[in-house]
Amino acid sequence: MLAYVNEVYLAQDGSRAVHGFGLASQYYFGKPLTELELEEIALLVALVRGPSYYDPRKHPDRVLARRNLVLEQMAERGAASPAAARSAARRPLGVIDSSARQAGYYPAFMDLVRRQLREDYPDEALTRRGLRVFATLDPATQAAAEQALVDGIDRLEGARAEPALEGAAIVTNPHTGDVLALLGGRRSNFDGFNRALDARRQVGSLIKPMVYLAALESGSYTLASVVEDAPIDVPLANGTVWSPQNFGNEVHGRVPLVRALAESMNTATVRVGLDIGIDRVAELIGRTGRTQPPDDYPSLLLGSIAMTPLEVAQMYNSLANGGFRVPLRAVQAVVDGEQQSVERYPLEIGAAADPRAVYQLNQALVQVMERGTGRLARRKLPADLTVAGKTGTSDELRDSWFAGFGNDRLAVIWLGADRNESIGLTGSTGAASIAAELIDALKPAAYRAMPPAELDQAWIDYVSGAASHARCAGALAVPIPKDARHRRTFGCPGGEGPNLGTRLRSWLEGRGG
Amino acid sequence: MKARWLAAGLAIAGCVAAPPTRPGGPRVGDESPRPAQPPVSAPEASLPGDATGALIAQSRAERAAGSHDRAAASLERALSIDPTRADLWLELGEVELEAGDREQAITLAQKALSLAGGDAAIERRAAELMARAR
Repeated sequence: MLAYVNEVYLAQDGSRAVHGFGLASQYYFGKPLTELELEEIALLVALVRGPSYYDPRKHPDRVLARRNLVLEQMAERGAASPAAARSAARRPLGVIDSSARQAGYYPAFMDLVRRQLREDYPDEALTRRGLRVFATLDPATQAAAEQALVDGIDRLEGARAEPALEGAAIVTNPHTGDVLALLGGRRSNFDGFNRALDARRQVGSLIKPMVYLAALESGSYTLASVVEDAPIDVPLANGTVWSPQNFGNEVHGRVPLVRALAESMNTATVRVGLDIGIDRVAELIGRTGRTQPPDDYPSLLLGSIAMTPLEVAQMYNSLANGGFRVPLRAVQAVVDGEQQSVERYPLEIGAAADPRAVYQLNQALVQVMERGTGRLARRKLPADLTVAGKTGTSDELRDSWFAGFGNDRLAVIWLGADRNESIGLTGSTGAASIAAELIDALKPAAYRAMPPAELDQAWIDYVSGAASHARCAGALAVPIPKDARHRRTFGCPGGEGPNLGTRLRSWLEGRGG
Repeated sequence: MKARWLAAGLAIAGCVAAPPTRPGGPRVGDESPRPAQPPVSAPEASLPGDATGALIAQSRAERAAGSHDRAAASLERALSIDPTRADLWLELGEVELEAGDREQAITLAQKALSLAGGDAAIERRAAELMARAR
């Protein structure tokens, strides 16, 4: 929305003048700017004041009054005759139904295509006839992403007017890096500010998997390691003290690593991150996602770093791809009809993180969905559709994030306001609920990675991390390295035997039911 | 007349628009946001029956004809349909090694291994590929 205004402002800059209006003209009236009637031009001018507040499809009465005011002004300035202005003011808005949009019109995705091609082709080559682009976009995936994002934002926004919610969505095939869908805002066929590529926002807890992956890679931690979740004071270089708190100031005490991540505990994460070294976390972020590691200040551990949705997708793509890094691409090949040449953009694979550590981490990300901050979203999905994911919320609820994956699809959703106001949504209540709708529509293969041969399985009590047994209530199997020390037990934590419900269930399962 | 309305409208818009605070990132060009040609869907969509099998056969024929780039492209298309098949990653690694890219070959062998799930034949082929690439 903000960008739309900027486009209009740029309108005074030579030939770019009508760029914003030109697209708005197509968007609202389905015809080029030069064919607009007086009242239609006045409506576009009216929109500049607040494209969201005056959205003609949502608030026709508001925009009608504003449009007629613009008509009066135009008459006062002599731009239109008073008679023409009066007659224009009596006409309806004339806005076309948004479902009448043209097929095959994907401005945000094409933006990524152009940026990737621009690295190799001069501008004039891109507009030349005869250049055929083999793009990675999958129209069905794009349509599903659009529906989930647009409907989801409408639902979350409900009756409230401010701040206007915006969003972005990206879907990839994590193994090839192909970008299958990309949305830069809720108005997907509008070529405005592309939030998927250009909205650089705080990622919050979305960064935590990097802390735990660094911990698992170091070999000093397993998912069964018991860590302390309690307030901590971190002296900073500038002499102040940083005292991070959990959401709602809760203190969970001693918990297994898998639960600390699943329930996104802040103080446990900071303790683990400080123990293994912030520099290691920063270096890992550089390896999996961005090429430059971020600065290693302590608040990095809780996601004070700002990233674009595309950068987040690149980082999580390395997790969904089992520790391998493939650059996200929108173009597979370009066929140049004039030059009779084919330029291929081949899959380039690199090692980003230890596959064994990534396997363990991803099992914890499955528990995010089963037991942690993603469980509300998980309930919307079929029981047999295992997915891994993580929610993220920035300070003062300004950003709501979710990144999640099955076996062959990764989805990243961001929600926020263009002016960075609080939107009153957590990652769990906002982005994750939209992601669930999207994942349900995409029907990806369930997340099911092959356990590396070097890993074993340990039964722990999910709440306390104590050694447990398959038959015990609250028991969870986690992968741990074969050489890791882990106490085994045939009893249940607290010395109790398996409870009746669990025994009944294992008996039923034993019958193959 | 319409051009004059438009100019007047833009002038009024300029009075109320905020100053430019366009976020970073390159400016998208002035050309139409639609591509000159629509993106062409990948040809596997039109392949009958076992698309992956057909692409593997095609890749092998291209490889035998000495066209490594095409052979790799066909395998990539197969992989976009069946991304978790370890044998496809191995075969791509073998093509890359023949084309002289040792580093890609090794990483592709590791990728295949991560999907092997204890398949001894895959593990053996991956080990052989890595040994040849080193």
